[in-house]
Amino acid sequence: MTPIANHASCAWRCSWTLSAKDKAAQYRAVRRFVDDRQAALSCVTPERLSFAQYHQSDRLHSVWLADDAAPVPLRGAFRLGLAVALGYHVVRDAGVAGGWTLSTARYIYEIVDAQGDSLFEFHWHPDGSSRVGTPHLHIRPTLKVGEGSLDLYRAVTKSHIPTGHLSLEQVIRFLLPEVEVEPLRKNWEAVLQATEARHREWRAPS
Amino acid sequence: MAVQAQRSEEEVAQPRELSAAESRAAFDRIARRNLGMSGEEFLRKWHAKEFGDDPDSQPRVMRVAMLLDLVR
Repeated sequence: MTPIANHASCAWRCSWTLSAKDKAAQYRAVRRFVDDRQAALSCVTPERLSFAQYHQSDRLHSVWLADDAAPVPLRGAFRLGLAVALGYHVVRDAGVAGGWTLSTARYIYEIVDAQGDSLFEFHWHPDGSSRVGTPHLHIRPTLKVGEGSLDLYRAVTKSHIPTGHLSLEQVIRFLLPEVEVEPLRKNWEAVLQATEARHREWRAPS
Repeated sequence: MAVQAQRSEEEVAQPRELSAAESRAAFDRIARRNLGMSGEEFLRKWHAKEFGDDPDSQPRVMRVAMLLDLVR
């Protein structure tokens, strides 16, 4: 995986002349980010996050749950497990104390069954080898209809699964190659690219 | 998978901060735990594209691939 090309200017990352004050502020930003993620996870697991000691670099930095990055058990009738891995950059932000903040650059949140087999995964890895660089959800075939009150399939299919903000074009791109809907236009990719670009240009800043 | 005893609501574990050497060792451990191969073997297979055209479809491979920066 290579660093994200369109990330904010690499000037700070490519420069090795940061002041001691800036380095300390970067480290505080990293700790704030990791500690907050740890606090959030403490709602479902006592397991610890691991992260590589911060050093100034144009590479992504990693945070992951559990020493071996394997899923950790969660309480509940379905005996699910959770695996988490995140990549981040430290970026300048004049709007925060210390002038530095963290920008998440990739993630995987994986939910597994009691046997440790993946059920569904929230992915975003724009810099990876996958042909899909936008946030997406995988539903694995492990998710089956169960019995009685332990029917995870029914619980999941009744639930509201969170997603990012999706454009109509993203949904149509999902339908065409992924679930083999047949396009009515040969130039569908170009059409979607153009309409999506216009939509991005016109929409109000979020 | 066994769930540990519930902690008090105030208690939050401290994240582990790993040195560069510890990070490299962690990568090897992660590859062994999730795929039964060494970190070195994973890197060789990854760069040779032996995990196929779409490693995204292999959760265990992705768990390791997400942490490639630990050994760069």
